Amino acid sequence: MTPLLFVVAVAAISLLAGFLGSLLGLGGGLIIVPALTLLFHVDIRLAIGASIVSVIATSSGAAAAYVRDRLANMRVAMFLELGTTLGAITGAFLAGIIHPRFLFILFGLVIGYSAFAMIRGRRTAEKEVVVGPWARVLQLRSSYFDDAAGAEIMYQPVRARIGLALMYAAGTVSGLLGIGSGALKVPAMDLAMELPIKVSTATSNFMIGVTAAASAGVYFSRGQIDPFIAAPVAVGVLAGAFAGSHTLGRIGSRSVRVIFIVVLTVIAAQMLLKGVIG
Amino acid sequence: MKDWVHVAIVALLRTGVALSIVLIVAGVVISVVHHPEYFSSRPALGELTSPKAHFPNTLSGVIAGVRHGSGQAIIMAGLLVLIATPVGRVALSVVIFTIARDRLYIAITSTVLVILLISFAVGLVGT
Repeated sequence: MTPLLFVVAVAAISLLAGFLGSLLGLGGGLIIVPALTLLFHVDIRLAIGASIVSVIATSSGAAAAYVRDRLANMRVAMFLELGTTLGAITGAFLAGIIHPRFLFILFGLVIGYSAFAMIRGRRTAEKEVVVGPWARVLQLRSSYFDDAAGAEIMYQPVRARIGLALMYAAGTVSGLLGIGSGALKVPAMDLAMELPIKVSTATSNFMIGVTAAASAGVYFSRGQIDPFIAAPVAVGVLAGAFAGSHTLGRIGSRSVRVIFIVVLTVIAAQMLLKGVIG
Repeated sequence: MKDWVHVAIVALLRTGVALSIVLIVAGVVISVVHHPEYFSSRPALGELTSPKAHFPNTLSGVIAGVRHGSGQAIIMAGLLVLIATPVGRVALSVVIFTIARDRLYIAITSTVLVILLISFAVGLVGT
């Protein structure tokens, strides 16, 4: 394969990953890293460096739309970014010292979990909760306009400290594997902090860029961001995500989900296999 | 929050992404034009995507490369603009909360900004 063909092929795969990812609310990283390592035999650490850059691209692109629609809760985002950025640095630092085989195994497990989370779907807690001092002092209460309900919905986030701790963990996984880890952030806000699902998704997307920038800083300084891999990945994923976000709703989301779950399961198995066999 | 806050953040994010994409695409085109062997040579790919490949990993290195018209450095500049976009968003948030005189959130956003700046230093220590 010549360099030019490589760039074109990687851009094409990234386009597909960005498109599928945005349809399902996942980042492209879950597909990009396996594609680069399994199909193109790129070193996993360079694949992760390229992926983290694409995560920033999609997050910044999507965040602009969510901020405009007032769906993202800025205060919640700023507060939780304390956890995600520290976690991201931890993760990126760990990625430099642990064995690549462990990265494959961990990647397989996270993809498997994401597939499982999609099968299980979402539960919503409907019980009364006490607003603790942290949530009160941080003034996290807000509202958004829900199109489906046609009304302004007020909400009061709770359990701010648990949310912050979970975000540290999500940030570590993000930095370690070069993914947005929205699959971990959204449940943390949805289940632990009891934010409305639309707000959780939008706020997660808003935070992902900052989280990824923290680990990208480490990867860049360490020379793990290869321009010839990162360039087609960033442009491809961004174009795919843009197309996907303008298609959302036009395709039956149920069938897309089923296909995606099957794809994720296969990828998870392959990554695990590569990690175990070497 | 006030309307101009949303407008400013959206404008910053959009501009950062657009500028980086222009630089990345321009860098790829320049690289291919400067190195015709990228059309035909197979070994070239191995060198470009090897873990041992050398590309600028300091700000000064990227700036020096861009001055020489190096396609690779222009791609890196685009990638850096992309990485800097969320950092700029956090810096803008510090300004927004300063105008709003919200001390708690000035402290929170400033801390996030410091963590982000430290991340570049941590990478250099980690090597």
